[in-house]
Amino acid sequence: MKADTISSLAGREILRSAMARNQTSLTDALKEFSTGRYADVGKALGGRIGGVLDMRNIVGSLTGLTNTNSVVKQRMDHVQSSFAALRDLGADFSESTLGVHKTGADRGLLISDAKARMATLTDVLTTSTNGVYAFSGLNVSVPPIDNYLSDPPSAARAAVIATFTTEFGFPPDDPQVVTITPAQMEAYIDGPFSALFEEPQWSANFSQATDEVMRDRISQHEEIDTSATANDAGIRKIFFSLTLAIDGGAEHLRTDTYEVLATRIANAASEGGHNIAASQARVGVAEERLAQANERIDLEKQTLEGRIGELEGVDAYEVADRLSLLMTRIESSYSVTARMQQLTLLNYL
Amino acid sequence: MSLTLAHEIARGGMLANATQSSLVSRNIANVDNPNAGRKYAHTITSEIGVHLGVISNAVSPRLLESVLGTTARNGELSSMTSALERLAGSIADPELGISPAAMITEMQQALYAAAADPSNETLLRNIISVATNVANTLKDAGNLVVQVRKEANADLKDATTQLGTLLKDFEDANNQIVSGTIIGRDVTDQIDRRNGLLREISGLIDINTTTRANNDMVLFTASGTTLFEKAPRTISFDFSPLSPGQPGGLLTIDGVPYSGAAATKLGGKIGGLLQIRDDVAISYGRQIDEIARGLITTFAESDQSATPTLPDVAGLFTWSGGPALPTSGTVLDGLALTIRVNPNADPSQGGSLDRLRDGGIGDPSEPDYVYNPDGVAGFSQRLRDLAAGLSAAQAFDPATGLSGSTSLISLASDSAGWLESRRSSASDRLADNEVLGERAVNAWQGQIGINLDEEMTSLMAIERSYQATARLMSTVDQMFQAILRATGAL
Repeated sequence: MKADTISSLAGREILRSAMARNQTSLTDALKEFSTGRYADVGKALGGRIGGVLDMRNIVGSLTGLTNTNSVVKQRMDHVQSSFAALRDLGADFSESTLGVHKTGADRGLLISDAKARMATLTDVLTTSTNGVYAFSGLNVSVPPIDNYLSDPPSAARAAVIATFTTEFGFPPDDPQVVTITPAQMEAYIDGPFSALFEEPQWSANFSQATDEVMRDRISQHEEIDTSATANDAGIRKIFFSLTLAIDGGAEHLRTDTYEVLATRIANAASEGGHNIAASQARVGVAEERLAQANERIDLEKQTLEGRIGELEGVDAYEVADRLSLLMTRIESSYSVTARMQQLTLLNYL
Repeated sequence: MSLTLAHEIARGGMLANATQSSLVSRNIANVDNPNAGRKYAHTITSEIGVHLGVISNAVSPRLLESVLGTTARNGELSSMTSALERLAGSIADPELGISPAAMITEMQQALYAAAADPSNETLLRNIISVATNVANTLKDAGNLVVQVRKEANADLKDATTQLGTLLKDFEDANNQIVSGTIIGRDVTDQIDRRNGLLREISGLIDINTTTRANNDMVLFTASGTTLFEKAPRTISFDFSPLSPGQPGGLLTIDGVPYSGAAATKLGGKIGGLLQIRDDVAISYGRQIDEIARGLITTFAESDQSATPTLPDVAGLFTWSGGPALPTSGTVLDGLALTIRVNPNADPSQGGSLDRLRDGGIGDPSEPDYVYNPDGVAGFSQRLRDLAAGLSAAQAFDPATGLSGSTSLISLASDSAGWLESRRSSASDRLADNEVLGERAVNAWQGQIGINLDEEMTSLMAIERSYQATARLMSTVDQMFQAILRATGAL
C-alpha cells in the first residue's frame, strides 16, 4: 500500500469547495421551497422549455377565448332576448288586430296599438351593448333602423306614404281612401307595398344593417355567427305589418276593404313572429355551442395548467427533504472544518 | 579511521542538516502555494560521510495533464455558460411572459380580443401597445445578441493579449529551467512558476505539453499547432467590428486560422468565446431575425382588388426596408434591429387605429390594400385572419438551426428551447467539470503538494539529527583534547 501524503492546501480546499457547493444548493433549494417551482426553470427544463412556452401560449389563447366568449355571450343573450321580444310582439299584434277587427272596435285603436308596438320594435332593435348594435350586421357602429315615427317623418315613413300616394292618387289619411276597393287594396299590398320590403328599397329606406353578421371564434377551431341583422325576414314581416297598420289608410277604408287590410296585417304579424322564432332557434343553437365550447376550454385549460405545473414545479416533499439534508451536511461541514483547524502538529510541539 | 575523518563526517552531517532544514522552511513557506511541489533532496552516504543530492521537486506529469485538461474545459464551458445566460435573459422565466414567444402569444390574444368587438377602440389601441412591446422585445433581443457578440469579441482580444503575455513569462521561466538544469542548479522554484503559468495558459486555451532534454517544455494546441517551442509562436487576432450574422475577425496561431468552424478544436476560454461569437450567438441572432421576418410577413397586406396587381407590402410591422417585404424564406441578418410598428396605424404617430381592422396600413394612399372597403365597424375578418396567421405554418430559413416550416409562435418557442437546452447542457457540464477539476487538482496537489505535519515531523528529525551531530562533534573534540592533553600539547 502506498500512502500518499495529502497536501495541507488540498485538504483545506476540499472542505471549502464542498461548503461553497452546498451553500449554492441551499439557496436554490430555499427558493424552490418557497415558490414551488424550479429555481432556474430554463436551466432545469433545457430544451423542454419550448414545450412549456407552447403550452403557455395555448393557455393564453384559451384565456383570451374565455374573455372574448363572455363578450360574445353578452351579445348573443341580448340578441336572444330581443328575438323573444320581437316574436311575442308579432304574435300579440296579430291577435290584437284580429280582436279589434272582429269586435268592430275603433280603428284608431288599431293604429295606436301599431304605433306603440313600432316604438317597442325600434327600441329593441336600436339598443346597443358595449357600443355594438347587435342588429346592424357588420355595421355595428350605426343603429340598424331609424325611428319610423320621428318628426319630421323618417325616410322610411316618407317612402311608405309616397308609395301609397303614387298608387291611389291621395295620401293614406285622405278621406278619399273610402273609394279604394278590396281588389285595389290587394293589388297595392302585393305590388308596390311589398316591394318596399324587398331589396333595393328596404336598404334604401329602412335598414342600415348589412346582411352579413359578425362571426367570432369561440374555440380553437370553431366560428359562429354572433350578431343578427335587421334584414332578417321575420323583422321585415313585422315592419310590413306595422307600417301597413299605421300608414295603410285604415281609418277611412270601406268595411270590406278594411277587412282585407286587417287580415293582411294580422297574417303578416303572425308570419313574422314565426320567422323570428326560427331565427331565435338558430341563435339558441349557437348559444349552446358557445356554452359547450366554454366548458371544453375550461377543461383544456385545467389540464394544460396542470401539466405546466408538473413541468415547472418541484415536488415539495422532495425539496423539503433535500433542504434538511443540505442543512445537516452544511452543519457537519462546519464542525469538521473547526476540528480540522485544530488538527495540526503545531499545536502539539 | 581517523578522528579528523570523524570530524569531517560530522561537519558533512551539519551541512546536510542545514540544507535539509532550509528545504523544510522553503516547503513550509510554500504550504499555501497551489502550484508548489514539495522540494526534497536525497541523502547520499559514502565512506566519507553524508551529503545531499540535487534538490528536486515532487512532480506528477500525468496528474498535471488532467489538471490542465479540466482547466481548459472549465474555461471553455464557463465562458460559454455566462454568454448563454446573458442570451437566456431574453427568455427569462416563462412565468414572467417576456420572451418573444410569450409576446407573440399576447399579440394573438390582443388580435382575437379586438376581433370579438372590432368597433371597440380600446381593444384596437391595446393591439398597438402590444405590437409596440413585441417590436421592442425583438429589437432588445437582437441588440442583446449584438452586445453579447461584442463582449465576446472584446474578451477575445483581452484573452489573446493575456495569452501572449503568459507565453512570454513562460519563455522566461522555461529558459531559466533549461539553463539551470544544464549546470545542475536548483530550478525547483522556476518549475513551480512554470506549472502555475501552464495552468493559467490552459484556462485560456487547451494545450498539450511535451518535455524534452534538459526539462525544456514545448506547448501545442489541442489540434497540434505549435504554441511554444523555445519561444512563443505568433498569435494574431483581428479585432475588427462585427456585423450581424457574419463571423468576426480571424484568430491565427502560428499562421493556422482558428476562427469559425475550427473553433471547437481550440478549447479553453478563447475556444468558448469563439464558439459564442461565431456560432451560438449568430444562430440565435438569426432565429430572432427570422421571428421578426415572420412577423412582418404575417402582417403583410395584399392587393384586395378583383385582379390584384400591386405587390404585398409590410403592414402593422415594418422595417428599415419597408414598405417592401423582406425576401421570403431567407434570413435577413440584423432585421430584428430595425423592426418597428408602422406609424400609419399608430395614433400617437399620426396614424389611424381603424386601419388595424380595415387594412391599408402599408400604403394608406392605395385603396386596393383595404380589406373592408365599406368601412363597417363590425368587420373582424382581417383581425381574425391576422391572429390565425400567427399560428399558421410558414417557410423559415433552415440556417437558424430550427425547423424550416412551422408557425411563428412555434418558431419562437422552439428558439427558446434551442437556447435553453444549450444553456442547460453547458451549465450541467460545467458543474460536472468543476467537480472533476477539483478532483484533478486535489489528486495532483496530493501527489506533489506540501503537508505541514510531514514537514514538522521532518523538522523534528532534523533537530534530533542536529543534536546527534553536535554531540558527535563535541565527543570528537573531547577526544582531541584528551589526545592533546596526553601528548602534553595543552
